[in-house]
Amino acid sequence: MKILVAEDDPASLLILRKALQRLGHDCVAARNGTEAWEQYLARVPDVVITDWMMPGMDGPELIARIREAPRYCYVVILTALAEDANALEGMSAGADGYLTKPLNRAELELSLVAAERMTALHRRLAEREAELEAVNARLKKESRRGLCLGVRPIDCAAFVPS
Amino acid sequence: VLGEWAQPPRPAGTDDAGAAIDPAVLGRLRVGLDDDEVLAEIVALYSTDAASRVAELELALAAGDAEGLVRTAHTLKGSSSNVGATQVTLLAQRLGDEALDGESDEMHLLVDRLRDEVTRAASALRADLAAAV
Repeated sequence: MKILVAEDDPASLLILRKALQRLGHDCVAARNGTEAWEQYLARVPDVVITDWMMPGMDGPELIARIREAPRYCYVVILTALAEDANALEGMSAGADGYLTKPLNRAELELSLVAAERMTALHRRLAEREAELEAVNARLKKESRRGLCLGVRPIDCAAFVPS
Repeated sequence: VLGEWAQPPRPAGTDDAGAAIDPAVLGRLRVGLDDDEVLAEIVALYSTDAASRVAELELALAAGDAEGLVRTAHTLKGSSSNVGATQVTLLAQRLGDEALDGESDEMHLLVDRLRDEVTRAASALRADLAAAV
């Protein structure tokens, strides 16, 4: 998977990047939230792993922007130990999972298994949505031509969970 | 025994609680990476970065910048916990908590302690790397 890591500490970033590479993932790094958002738009990652507190745009704001974007992305928040309140706040803000520092490689791997399943599911959903859009467009066209009497265009939005 | 009793009490959070690094955390990192060159790079990055974070803390403290203190202490705590720099992690946590609560004399004490502990952690990490070769 293509994974974007937003982390302002260079040592933690290198640890995470090496761990992700060893698990066979493609890692894109950003040193703060603003850079992460730019990379998110440019690189379209499957997963974002973001630190909680960063200069400029922080983790919660980055998550909020990602959740406003139309495409689904699995988001994991990174918190230091003894910050359970932050983890809860992060999950409420739209994160799908959280990891604690020091980084536990087994937990990272488990989190990415869940991420793989969720992104696959959302990809299928997006494909289905595109198919429905195409069918709807065709029906509208045929309806306009009067070739499809009695058939009304399908409201795609009704089939797609918000 | 009497000598111990006669010593003045230490301010909270400044007790020299022991080893600068946790060998278990560093050991797990070494096994996970399976690459001593990368480990050396991580230790070098940490040492440089932690020293500059302490300088940032000193500036933030002098400027009365509570938000800067909280954020920098948080970053220092995270990086230190990743390399097993136990004392720095604990002191950075305490400093972050104090900064959230507002200005206090203890923050100056904690930043002083952090400066020493970052130096101690960096040498302990280097010593560990040298011993593993």
